[in-house]
Amino acid sequence: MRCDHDRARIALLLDGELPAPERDAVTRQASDCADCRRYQSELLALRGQLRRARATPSPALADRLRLRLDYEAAEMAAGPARPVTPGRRAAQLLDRLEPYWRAYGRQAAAVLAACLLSVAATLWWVGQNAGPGPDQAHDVLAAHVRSLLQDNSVQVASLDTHTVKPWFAGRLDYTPVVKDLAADGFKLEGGRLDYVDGRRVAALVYLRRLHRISLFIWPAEGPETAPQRAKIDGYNLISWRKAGMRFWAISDLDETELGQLPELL
Amino acid sequence: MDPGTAALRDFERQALAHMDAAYNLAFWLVRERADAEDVVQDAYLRAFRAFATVTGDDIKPWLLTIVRNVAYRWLSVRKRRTNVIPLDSVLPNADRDEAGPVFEIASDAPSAEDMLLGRADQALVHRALDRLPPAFRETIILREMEELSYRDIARITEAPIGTVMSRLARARDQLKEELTELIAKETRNAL
Repeated sequence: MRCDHDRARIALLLDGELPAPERDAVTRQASDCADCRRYQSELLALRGQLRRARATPSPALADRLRLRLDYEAAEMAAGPARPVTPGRRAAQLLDRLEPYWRAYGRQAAAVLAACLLSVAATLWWVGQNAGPGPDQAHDVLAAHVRSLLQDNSVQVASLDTHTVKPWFAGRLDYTPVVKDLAADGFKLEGGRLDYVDGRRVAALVYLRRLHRISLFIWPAEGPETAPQRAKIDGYNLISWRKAGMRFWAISDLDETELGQLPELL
Repeated sequence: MDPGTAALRDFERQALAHMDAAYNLAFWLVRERADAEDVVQDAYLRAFRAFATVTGDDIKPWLLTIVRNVAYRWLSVRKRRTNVIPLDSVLPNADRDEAGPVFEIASDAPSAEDMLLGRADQALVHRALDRLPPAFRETIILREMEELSYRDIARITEAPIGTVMSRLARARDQLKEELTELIAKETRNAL
């Protein structure tokens, strides 16, 4: 066998990529020369092995996909336009400001830069002084209580983490951790979007016996922190940071039982 | 039937036919059953939203391109969020349920007696595949498991056809080498 060249042609033949006029010649060669024959059977054996290693999805995946797509189609039909994103709104605003921009561009830029600088300085100063401050705790408390006042505290109801987690895709710019904690006595009820600390966040709802737990998750840079506990109006709150995420758990559940959550997540 | 529902049915009819292929590619990229299913769901939603813009009869390459992109994004997020788990610690028995019978003889392998490759345990095949660099792995998976043409593979992996061919050749050589080595080790241990 003239080595590499012939091997390449045998591979092309087996991949169905050899031009028709050459097929006969290469087929003949593959059966005549012993080395070629060996190479060909090796490739075929490998192919057989690989085909058998093909991974198959769980039988439920097709139904789950259909369900999600139905949901998506219904949502698209309900609101023909997606909500105006801050980016698009800013672009519209800029268009409208175009004439003024031309006239006063330079002054405006200077004023804007000064404003941004002072805002940044303020934010930095605030950031230096605030941990997961009392504001966050009150936001979390308000969001939790509000969810209890409504008929339904979840927007997507499912025990299945693989239904809940993808539901957040497209609604948030991050992916929250959604774990099945049924074995540890925390039953997943579902999830919803909420608004805490000035941003949209994922809220997961777990049930422990009859106690409802809201778990809020959003990205937060910084090192891991040990769970901090608080008690407001009879509710127990725990907050911690882990794997680039800020977690807040709140419930009327007993403090020690709620305290298991940070270890499980 | 309103146009929205018609579009949905049309998408489902065309896209669900390729669900196994989508899952297989996702699985071999993210190496996690649950994550692979999430990747497929995410990719199908994106595909559905963009479905109106697709032209051509065969949506498989287009769909797999989206699956691949979502899978790689998923991997980079996972890497950022968690410490990377060394592959070898999860591999050897992780997919036992999928592994075929031990020492099965490949049906389409001629002269099987001198063909060690055809008799490898599926767990070894999985391990050998895992040792491939991702670019080689995705190329050989698209060719051997999904039976796509070089042109489609080039499109999905965003590489020139020449690169696809050389990756394929190197993936095959490396797989053969790894498998032979793993089998030899296994046989030695058995003795």
